[in-house]
Order: sequence, then C-alpha cells, then structure tokens
Amino acid sequence: MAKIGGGVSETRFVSTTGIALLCVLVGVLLLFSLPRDDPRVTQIRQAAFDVFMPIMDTLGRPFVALRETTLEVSELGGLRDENHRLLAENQALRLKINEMTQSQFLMQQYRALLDLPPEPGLELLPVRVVADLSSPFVKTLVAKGGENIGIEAGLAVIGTNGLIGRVISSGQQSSRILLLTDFNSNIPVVALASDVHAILAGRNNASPELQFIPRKAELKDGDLLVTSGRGGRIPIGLPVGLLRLDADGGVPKVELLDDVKGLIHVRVVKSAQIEAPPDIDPSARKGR
Amino acid sequence: MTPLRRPDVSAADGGSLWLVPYAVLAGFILLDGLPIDYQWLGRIELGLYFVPIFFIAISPSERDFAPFGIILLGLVNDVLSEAPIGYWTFLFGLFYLLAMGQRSLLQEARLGAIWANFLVLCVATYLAGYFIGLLRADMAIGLGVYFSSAFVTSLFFPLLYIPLAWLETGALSASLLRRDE
Repeated sequence: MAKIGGGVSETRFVSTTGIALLCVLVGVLLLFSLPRDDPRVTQIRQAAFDVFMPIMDTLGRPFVALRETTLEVSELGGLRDENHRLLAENQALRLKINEMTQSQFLMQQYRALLDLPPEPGLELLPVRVVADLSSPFVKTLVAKGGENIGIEAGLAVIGTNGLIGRVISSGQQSSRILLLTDFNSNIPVVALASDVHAILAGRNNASPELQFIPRKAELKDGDLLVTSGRGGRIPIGLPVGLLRLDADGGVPKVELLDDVKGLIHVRVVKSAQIEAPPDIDPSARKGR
Repeated sequence: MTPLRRPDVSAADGGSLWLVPYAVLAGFILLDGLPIDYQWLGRIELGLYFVPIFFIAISPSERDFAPFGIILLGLVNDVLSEAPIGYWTFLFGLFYLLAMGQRSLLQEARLGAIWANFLVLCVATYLAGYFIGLLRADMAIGLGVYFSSAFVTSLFFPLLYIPLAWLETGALSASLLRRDE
C-alpha cells in the first residue's frame, strides 16, 4: 500500500503500482486512438511550442553561440584555401550571371509572345531555428516566428542552397517545419534534364526517395531536382537535390542540396497563393 | 564499491527535495529539442530521461504523485518531441513500472548492480518502443539504432545517478543536522 507522509498508512483502493498501471493503460489508449495528424493534436502541439518557444530560445542560445564560435575557429585554419576557392567560384558565377541575364531577357520575350500571366513574386522571411526535433521517427524543426511575421501553414522553407521542408503549422510566435527527410513529407518535384515529374518522399533517413515515377521515364544520375509547383502552394523551380540512381535498379534516392542537420537559420518562402479555379455549375457541365 | 543506500525523503525532513528528479526530467525534455548538433551521436536516440525516472521509481519513499507526474511529463515529451501522442507516455510509464518492481531488490545493491539493472530495463523499454514503431505506419525505427541508443543511454547513468543520490543524501543529512541542533 502507498505510504503517505511520515510512515502513516491508510486503507486505499488502489496501490501506487495500480495507479502506475492505469497511467500506462492511458498511454496505450492515447497511442492507438489518436492519429498523428489529428487537428486537435496539431493545435495542442502548436500552442505548446508558442508557450515553450521563449524558454527553448533562451536555453539554446549558449549552444548556438558555442557552435558558431567553433565553426568560426575551424574555418580560420583554411582561410587562404577558402579565399582561392571563392575567387574561382566568383569568376564562374560572373559567367553564369551573363548567361542568366540573356535567358531572363529571352524568357520575358517568350512570355510576352505566349501572353502568360506573370509568376507571383517570392518574399523570403528569415527565421531562426529554436528546436530541432529530429529523432528516429520524426524530422521536424521549430522556428521563432509565426503568424506575427506572416508565416502560415503550407509555405516552403529553404536553407542556404535549396528546399529543406515546409511549414506544417503556425502559431502566434512559432512555427513547425516538416523536413523533407520526414516519413510524412511528400513534395512534387521535377527532374530538370529528363523532365520527369515525381514525388519526393522522406524515409526518416538522410536521403529521401523518388516515388511515383512514370514507367517509361529515363532518369539521369546527378540530375537536378526542382519543385514542380504542383499543388499550388510550393512555388515552382526551387532547387531540392541531386538524383542518385541505384546501380541495382532500386528506388532512386535524392542527395539534398542542404544538410538538414544542425540548421540554425532558414528562410520561409512566402508566395502569392494560386487561386482555385471557379466552381463550374453542375448543370452547365451536364450540358457539355 | 559500497552499497548506495538511499534515505526515505517522504517525511517532512526532505522538504521539496523529492521534486529534484522531476525537475531534472523536465529539463531533459526541454534540452532534447535544442538545436544542438550531435554529429558524434549519429542517429542515436539518447534517453537521458530514463535516469531520473529510474531514480524516482527505486526511491524508498513511495509517492502517489510519482506515476501521475511521470505520465504527465511523458505527455509533455510527446507534444514537444513530435512523437505520436502516447508514445513517450507509455514508455515512461512502462519503464517506471519495470523499475518499481526492482525497488526492494536494489535497496542494498551496489552501484554496479543498479547500473546493470538500469541497462536491462533500458533495453526492454527501447525494445517496446521498437515494437510500437512496427505497429504504426507513421514511424520508422531501426532495431539496431534503438539497441545502440539503450547502451549509449546507460553509459551516462552514473554521471546522472550519483549526483542525484549524493544531493538527496547530502541535503537530507544537512536538514536532519539542523533539526537536531
């Protein structure tokens, strides 16, 4: 029997072991009755992150500062080599800029000829990562900033080099980002060189897989994958990763352009939402 | 090694000392989400929370609050770690129950025996976590990763358990001394 206070015992209905057993039972019931994407669970999580975000932000600052200092110190050693590399890269980029200016001009001409509407402009919102919830079963980040700076669910999130995930919920001061590597992440992409549309699916490891590939598609190893814009929420053309084909004919893997581990700063891509086509009158559809 | 006999802090002498392991547990839950780059840990799922739970479970002072507190913190961990609701709640509860069963056995045990016991319970709990992963479509857990996680977690055991035990014994002795004076 449970003991209360300084050795005083009482007649009890349930012992501490019984209470513990009941609690475990509650855990099992919750586990198998609540789906992970239940809107109530999402709301509770978001509300909890709004409450805990300032604490996590404060607790995380020394660790982030330490990591940034360590990185700076380690970079000092290779400063000379880095400078040479950057000079060469700069030269190559100048050439690329010339090519891009020419392409941009041509694109404008083609768009005018085809009378295409202009693509919606993109606004980048820089946010700081306050929590990295990566574990063997989930790959999620929590960022400082939510509805207060215009972040809403569904927006794309990019790192230094390309897409890293999308916002799954946004609270008043914080937002949750589902990484491309998460088991529940599915993003429509297109392989640039082979023009093949597919779905990039996270597998809870470093390399997401390419799924729903057309049967006769001819993929090329090293092909750059960009977002296809299908679904309307994630803008078209955001670089994602490089295609890595399996020599044994297995599912093609994708090497992401950004390392999603240890991210400190990310950018949320705010784009104008594409309006859904107007509802067609069912009677008019029948008449056609 | 001498046996780690722990005092009963259920009496008023202990003050709010019994809350310390709960605070440590809450601290680990919050620390777990920080964006710290554990490159050296790879994909290991470090479960440092199990040390304070073990400490609470084998405490000679049984408290009705303990299972509620642990389950509540498990729920908080479910919410903050993005795990399916009930996952950590169940694992925390299971680990507490398993450890509770060892209480009488470990009262006079040496640190090595307590440590070995913790390792066995850790492996059993991680195994339960792996089986839950098999039953759910939205979880993908590697058995190897989970076994390694249990072993790595147990390596940290003395670093956390000894200070907790020392704090409990030391603070209680000081309190008793003050009362005698």
